[in-house]
Amino acid sequence: MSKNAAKQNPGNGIGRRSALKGGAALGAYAATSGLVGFAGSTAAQAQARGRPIILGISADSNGVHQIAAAGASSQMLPLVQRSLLMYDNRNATYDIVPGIAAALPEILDDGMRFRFTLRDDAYYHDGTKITADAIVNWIQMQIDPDHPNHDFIQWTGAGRLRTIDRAEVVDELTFDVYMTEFNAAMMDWFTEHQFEGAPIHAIESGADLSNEDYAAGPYTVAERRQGESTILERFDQFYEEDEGVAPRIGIRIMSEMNSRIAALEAGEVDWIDSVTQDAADYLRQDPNVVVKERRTLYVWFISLDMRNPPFDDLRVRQALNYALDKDALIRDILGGAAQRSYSPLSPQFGDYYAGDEVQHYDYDPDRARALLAEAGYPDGFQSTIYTNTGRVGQLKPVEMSQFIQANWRDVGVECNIEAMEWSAFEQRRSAGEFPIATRGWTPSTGDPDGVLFQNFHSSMVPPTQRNVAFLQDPEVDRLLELGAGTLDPEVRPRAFRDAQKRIVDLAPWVFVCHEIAFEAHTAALQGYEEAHPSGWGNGLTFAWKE
Amino acid sequence: MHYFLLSRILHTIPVLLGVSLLAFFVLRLAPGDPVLMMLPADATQSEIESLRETLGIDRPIVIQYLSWLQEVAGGNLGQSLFTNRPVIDEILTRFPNTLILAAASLVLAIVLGMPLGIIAAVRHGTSVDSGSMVLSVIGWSMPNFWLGLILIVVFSVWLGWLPTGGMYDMMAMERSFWDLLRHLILPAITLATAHMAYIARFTRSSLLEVLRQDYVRTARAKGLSEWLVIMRHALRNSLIPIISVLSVTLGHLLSGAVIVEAVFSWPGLGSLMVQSISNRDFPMVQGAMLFAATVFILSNLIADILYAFVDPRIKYR
Repeated sequence: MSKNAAKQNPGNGIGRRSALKGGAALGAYAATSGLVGFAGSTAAQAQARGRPIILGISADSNGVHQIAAAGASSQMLPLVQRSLLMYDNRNATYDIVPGIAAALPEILDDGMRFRFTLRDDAYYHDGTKITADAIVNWIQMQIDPDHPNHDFIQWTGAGRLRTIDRAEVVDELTFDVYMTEFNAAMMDWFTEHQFEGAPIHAIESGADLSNEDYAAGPYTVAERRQGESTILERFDQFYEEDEGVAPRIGIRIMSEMNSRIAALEAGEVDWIDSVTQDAADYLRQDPNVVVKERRTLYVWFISLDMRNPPFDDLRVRQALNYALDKDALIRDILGGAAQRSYSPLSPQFGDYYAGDEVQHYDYDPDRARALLAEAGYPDGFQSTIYTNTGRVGQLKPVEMSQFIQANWRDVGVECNIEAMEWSAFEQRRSAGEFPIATRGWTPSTGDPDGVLFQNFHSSMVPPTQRNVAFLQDPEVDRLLELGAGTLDPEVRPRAFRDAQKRIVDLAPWVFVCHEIAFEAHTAALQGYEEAHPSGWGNGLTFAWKE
Repeated sequence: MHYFLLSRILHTIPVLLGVSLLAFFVLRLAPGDPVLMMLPADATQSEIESLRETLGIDRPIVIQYLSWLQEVAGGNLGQSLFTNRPVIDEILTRFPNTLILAAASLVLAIVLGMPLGIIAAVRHGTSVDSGSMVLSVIGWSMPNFWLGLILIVVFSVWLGWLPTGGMYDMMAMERSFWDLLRHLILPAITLATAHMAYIARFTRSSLLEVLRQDYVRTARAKGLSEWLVIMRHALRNSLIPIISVLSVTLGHLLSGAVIVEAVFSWPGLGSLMVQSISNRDFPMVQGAMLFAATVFILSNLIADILYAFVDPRIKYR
């Protein structure tokens, strides 16, 4: 199916938002998914097209299967893996479409049971047909400590599976997933690798899933040199007709961005990731290079510890929001490569985004000074901004902190900056040690729960969780629980939008920006029209070059 | 000589123990948690604790150390927390790459640096001396990060003569020596430049000192040609301190050239070490540090042995 055809026929998949709009609550969701989610069942085995393509990426995956190698993540994985469901790579959106499942699941028993039917033509890379028992075994292996192969898993992914009670086979291609409690984010979690499965014989024989390929995606690992390079080959038994177009994909690990750019300009690689704004501007001058922009789910924020003075006073927190000129920061420090943040959610969350409804803290130093004076700090106060020295996905933390420091000094708030190496910073931040901390955050999935619940629900405060602002507000809790507990197409977005309004009013964060990220490829690369906002290069399965 | 060798080898044991202590405790006492590096930002506390338990890093630190030491004594450096592969396999996969780059750089540094130093010493006080020392100052001061990128831009992007990085053409059907050589040229030049400058300066000063000795004056007085005086009498004696410089240089090169490896995507020990430190991959960092320390000790041992060959006055007992 062509890309245009797919766009004209959204029924091939079901967007989370379109599903929610499509009917009354759960029944409508289930009915819609059941009716329109089928992806066909004819093995296509299309011909490979063009020459091999080479990707220059900044960091390697720790393994072929994330489940067996914690921390495994890289652009390689979307090419190699395929879970039950997936985000829409074809149209580069966060809409959920079937992966190795034939359709979106039926949602039964008021959301306490998901019934999946698998495609009849999907295979693991060793040629084993994907069947219900393989997926059920895979899920049970993760959730059941008594499963004989439970030790197989380095990271159990308990967060994704904590609401799953069990999985049971119905027939060769059908199985049910039973829940312990209703979890509205479950559809997003089904896009994750925990639901790809692996051949039972491989698991029972103790195969090294960190390094051996039993995945189910359009490309199979032909040669792998950890930290150096990987060569992928098109998986001939892959079910989708027009995916896995290039016959081979080489992945070269290039940690240094300038080296990636040089390799792209020299024509040694066809696509590179993690391009900064400055580099994107430079590359745009090259007629042989195409720069792609991604508007992401990312948010960069400053958390304020609300337990202790002066941040226990709402007026102080609001003053710091008013005292920061976010537009100037984005323009001067980030070269325009970000969108201003009005709420914790990025505009990419669509119906869930409440940026137009929340109160806006536009730059107003006079108002900031007045609020500080009202709060009893007419001459300001002193504190420390804790930040990190930089890491992929953290923008320019030190430069941004310096800008913030200068802005706040204008209203009398004198801050030192303490910048530390990422791992040390994150450990102390997670423990809730910092009065003021900066951070960038990308949720694991496209569900708003991953940003809002984690950072603002009162049950999520350190040391157990990541609500480092220590926001504990019953109304926020109520709204977040309401959103997390329903698939109602009206109630859920409304609850999350109301939660954002309340959160922004309470100002536990200084809301700064949402990243605009860049990647680049040679003009010779075709079939890759839009960069997926996740940044994982998902659409590269459609790419090829003559 | 045998006694000397045995005693030196025995001396390495407390040194390696010290290194193991440092590697183990410094990394753990520094803030930072490998589990937080592995898991996504929205991982739950139960996931964090579960992974800590799986990795065995929830146990008391002394117990962790002793159990690691016991494993090391049995030849097992443990498993990488991130790749699940044995540490020794990771090191042995990377070390040959580092060895190739280090050897090429060292040869280049010696072949260019020593003649430059000799010429400067022989033409002491002339414009040749000043010129070569200016060159060596430039070479020594130039950041290899910058030099590497300039070489890439000129020779790879503009001229298209050499590849921008990597060790081989990754899509080639088989790996050939010539392909390796093409990929080696730029990183080896980049890495060699600073060492070449250092060797040139050291050779010059060492040779100048020897040239002032009485026996050199005597040799000249006997009517020997300047070439013979330098090559037979002066240079050999000036080599002794240079050997210790070379052994330290070799040790540095073999433990990984972090920046050059990053710029040229060279899959060596340096980049492995940096990545592992950043990830708090404890077993990998410990293993790599022990390995680097062993390499250092061995290169010093080799230097000591070479002394005996170069200087007949030195006898080991």
